[in-house]
Amino acid sequence: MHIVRDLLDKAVVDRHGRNMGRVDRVVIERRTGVPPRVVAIEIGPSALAGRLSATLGRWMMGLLHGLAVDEGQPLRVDVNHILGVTDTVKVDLAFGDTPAASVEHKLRGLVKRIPGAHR
Amino acid sequence: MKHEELFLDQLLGRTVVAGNNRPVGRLEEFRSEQRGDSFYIVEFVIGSAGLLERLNVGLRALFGMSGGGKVARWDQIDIGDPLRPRLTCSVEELGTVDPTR
Amino acid sequence: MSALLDLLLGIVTGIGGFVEVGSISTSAQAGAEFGFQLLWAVAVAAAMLALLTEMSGRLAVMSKRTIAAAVRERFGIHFQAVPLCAELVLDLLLLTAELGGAAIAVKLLTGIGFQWWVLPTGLLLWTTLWFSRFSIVEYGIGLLGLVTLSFVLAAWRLGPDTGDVARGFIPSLPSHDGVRYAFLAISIVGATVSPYLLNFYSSGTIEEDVTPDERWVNTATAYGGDVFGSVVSMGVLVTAAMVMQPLQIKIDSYEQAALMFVPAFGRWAVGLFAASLAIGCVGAALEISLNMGYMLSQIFGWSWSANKPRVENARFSCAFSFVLIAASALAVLGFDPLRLTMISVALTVVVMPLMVLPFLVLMNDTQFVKDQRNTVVGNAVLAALTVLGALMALVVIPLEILGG
Repeated sequence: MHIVRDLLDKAVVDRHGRNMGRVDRVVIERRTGVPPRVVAIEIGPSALAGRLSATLGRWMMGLLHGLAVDEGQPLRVDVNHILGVTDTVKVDLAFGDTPAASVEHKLRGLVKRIPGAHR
Repeated sequence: MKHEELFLDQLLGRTVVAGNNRPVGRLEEFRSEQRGDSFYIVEFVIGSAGLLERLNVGLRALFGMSGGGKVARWDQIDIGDPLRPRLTCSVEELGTVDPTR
Repeated sequence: MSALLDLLLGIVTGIGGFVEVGSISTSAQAGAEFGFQLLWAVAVAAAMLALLTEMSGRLAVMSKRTIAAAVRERFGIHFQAVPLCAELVLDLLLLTAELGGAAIAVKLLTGIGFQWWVLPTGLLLWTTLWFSRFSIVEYGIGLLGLVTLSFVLAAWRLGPDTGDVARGFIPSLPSHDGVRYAFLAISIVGATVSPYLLNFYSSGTIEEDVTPDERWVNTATAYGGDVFGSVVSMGVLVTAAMVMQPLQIKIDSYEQAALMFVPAFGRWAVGLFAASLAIGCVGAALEISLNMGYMLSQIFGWSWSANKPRVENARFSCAFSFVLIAASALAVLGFDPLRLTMISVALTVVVMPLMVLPFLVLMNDTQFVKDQRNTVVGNAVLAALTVLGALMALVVIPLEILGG
């Protein structure tokens, strides 16, 4: 697998096939004497912002924290939760269980009060 | 064993230097192998061909360019300082990009 | 629905949805100032749009990804951040201009200042998007938009000399004001080849679940819809050329542009012009807003679909709602819609090379388009477009300052 071509920026889906976001960052571990290892992927606006610039990443984390979205931390998915990498990255999680769902849930709370939202 | 975590994007695009501080190219791709549950980075692709790696065939087909970049095995690069990756071997010992991979 | 019906609806939508505030203003000004001389620019712009539209559709059919998603995956966020920010600004400006155009159309009918109509128009648009599935929006725009064929009818009724019209399709040097001529030629391209159109088209292809077997429908719709649609733009230009140019009236406002219908339609002139302007602008506004939801969702990996209940894709629903609210707030401030339109059109041209370049890579990448890669001819034309786009981008701002 080519990490930049096949993993980074790819769409992530949960075990039910529901969109969870994109691979916004890849975490690797380096050890002396063995090849570096991919340990996790990160999903979330603060991960993406941090990739563009460290300052932007901190601002985004602060903003999300201020909006009471899980302290602004991105969702970290360990590599052993990755079920497969094809057109999308399938992970052994359910979107609803993840902190990443909290923005969607907060907005749903707002949206469902508007007539016609359930049609 | 010493271990440390870092983000891939801290390495992506960094200029790799040889022992004499001569720049070799930029880190553009990381080839991994799955061993059990883990993905190990076994090769680093360096240089303009690495950019073609990222773009995957398209430009090559358009402009008829072949490889041109270099490939370093994981033990041929020291990423202790992600801002300044260095070769642990000579430039001549590096492999070249195989366009068909 | 049979593929043939899809094709017919697709072409009708292409025709009905073609003109909006940008194409009406640029074609009208071109006709008023240079007669038929810029018809070739309308034809070239339509051909460019058709080519890029077909590619957007093909990409979506074969890879099940829109352009926005494909660019993120293939080029990464560092590359995408630049066109994304540019398109956010551009689309907001263009949406504001469309809202302004629609509001002016209502002003033409009522005599009440256009700013009063911005918020009701915005609300109507939002309600339409909130309660409608994708096909209602898309085909509604197309069918209602057929009223814009009034421009073609007007041009026909004015009885232009066919030889003169035909000569307009051959590029020629203007007898006066070369800078203004060049600026309008480039603006016509910018008004026609809008970035939002391409991502919207690829999103629609996925919404409609077009399969690889039906890709001929995509090709025929892209070319048929855009080529026939451009006839409406040509109608605007010819009508303006027949009515405004002899009187040497330069079009400074949409209210003035409405005069072009008087000889052909008499007392129906204002009503028909207002209806055409309103529906053209409303249609484009719906597409731009919806595309904002599509684009952000696709880039950041949120669920999206206009065919699912709004509560199921809350971030997508909020994204298109927010951009409508923001554009309405801007439009209420009363910026001159015609000025705003010309600025948006110029900005589109500046952004254009960044839009076209990814196609060169994506449409040749088998990971995305499988065995439906571009032909050599397709690549050559695309490469030429990229270069042309870059040249236009370099000169449009100086030309706007000198001749705008």
